[in-house]
Amino acid sequence: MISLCALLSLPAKAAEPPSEVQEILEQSGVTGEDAAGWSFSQLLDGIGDAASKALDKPLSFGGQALLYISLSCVVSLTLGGGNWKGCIDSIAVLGFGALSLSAMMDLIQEVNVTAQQSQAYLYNFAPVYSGIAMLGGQTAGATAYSGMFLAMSAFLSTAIEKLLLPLMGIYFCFAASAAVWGNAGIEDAAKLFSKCLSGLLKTAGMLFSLVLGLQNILTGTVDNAALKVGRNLISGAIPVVGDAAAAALSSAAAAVQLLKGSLALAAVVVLGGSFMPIFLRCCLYYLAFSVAGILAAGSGQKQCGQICRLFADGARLCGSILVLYFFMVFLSTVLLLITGNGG
Amino acid sequence: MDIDLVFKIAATGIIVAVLNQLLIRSGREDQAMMTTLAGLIVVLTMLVRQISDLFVLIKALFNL
Amino acid sequence: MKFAALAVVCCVFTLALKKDQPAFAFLVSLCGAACLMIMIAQQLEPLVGWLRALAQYTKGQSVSCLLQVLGIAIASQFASDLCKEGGLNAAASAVELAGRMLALLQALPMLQSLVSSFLAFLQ
Repeated sequence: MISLCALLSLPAKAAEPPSEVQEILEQSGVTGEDAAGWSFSQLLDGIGDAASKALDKPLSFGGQALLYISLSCVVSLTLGGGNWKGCIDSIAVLGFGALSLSAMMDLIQEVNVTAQQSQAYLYNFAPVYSGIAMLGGQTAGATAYSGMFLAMSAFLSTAIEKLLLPLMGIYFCFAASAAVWGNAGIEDAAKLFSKCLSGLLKTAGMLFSLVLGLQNILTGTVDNAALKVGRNLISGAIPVVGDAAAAALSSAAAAVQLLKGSLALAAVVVLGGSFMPIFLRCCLYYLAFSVAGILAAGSGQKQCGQICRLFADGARLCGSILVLYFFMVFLSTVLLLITGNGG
Repeated sequence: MDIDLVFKIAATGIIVAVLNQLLIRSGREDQAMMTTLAGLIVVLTMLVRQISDLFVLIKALFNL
Repeated sequence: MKFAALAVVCCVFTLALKKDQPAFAFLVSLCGAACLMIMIAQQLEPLVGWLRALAQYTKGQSVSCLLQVLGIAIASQFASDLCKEGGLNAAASAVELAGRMLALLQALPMLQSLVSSFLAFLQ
């Protein structure tokens, strides 16, 4: 699918694309009329499909977690005598940790796979893009500018993949062992870890928005009320990288208006479709963990509640990583098309 | 069955206690001790079956 | 209601027999406790069956492990209380210790799966 997107984003000019690109288009099999004909309802259907595919795993995990917590609550109530309480508590936490850890490892694997796909997409971009730029007779300045942007995003994506995702895994393992040992110092260390991780993500996001700000080719950014609302929503809702995403949104909205009705929009939507299921999954895991945490805290099992809180933070961080990736990929596509169009 | 067992054991205990007192009063202490022991053994046989039932039930219930 | 009645009857008999035949008193209380436990277990059977069916739905063996630990705890608590009642405190603590060891042994597979998922990831 990513190669399809790469192929689709080649014909940047609304006018007749060069002959080599025509050939590639015919090979890919999606014509301009098809893409222009994708109505909004079809898009919604596609999103609904992705959502239902994403739902099953977190929901089943949520059900298991709730069942487990209620069961351990019942068990600790029946054997309320002080002798057995510590024993039962540690065993319950052990089981819950095993359960959540396997689920989170799966999630990290999926995020890794998606990240690698987008990384391959970015890497394939650069030679294609320089070829198109030369074909379109672009000025040297624009070429250098976009080249720098692509290099920056490639660097960021490599950093994220090699550095942040293993760190997430270590964070989850650490959180689980912290809760099982029940040592207060380890819990503080886990919280510090999560703070460091979100700090790292914020730095990456800031770097990215810096690059965007430097290279704002879209003069006269369209800044209407809807855009402002969208920006505020994103900054508030998406943790950690919200500001970067909001900056990306304002650039992107202007771009979208230019691209309406062309193949480029279809490419961007397909890109979003590849990210949507995993992102939804992250959100649902966050929700499931929060609910389970409330239940655990309410039934008096502090350690299980601790695991839930730490893992919920972790799921949120995974979601932020995904958002960062997505906006990088999205923007590089849009940038290519804009500069290809504008010349 | 369950509450009957308790009544049976209690009744055996009371009978043994009464017999014990009678025999002690009439001076045959060794026979008194033998009666007590006999009563204990009878009750134990009744009880061991019940307790083994209990443990088998717990084992089956929790799949130990 | 049955439980309460049984318990009260047991108490009465135990007290009656305690001075003359302490052994019999102990046996009466033992019998009463056993009968109560059997009645409780019979009531719990459908609930545990339902929990076991739910545990089939979850992938890991955490839920069934927890249930087994519950069973071990109940059995050892019962035995140690009986020992204490007969005045054997040492035996009571020995039984309790054995129960806790067994419960921890039961939880060993879960610990193993946790550690193996750590290791699998770190590679």
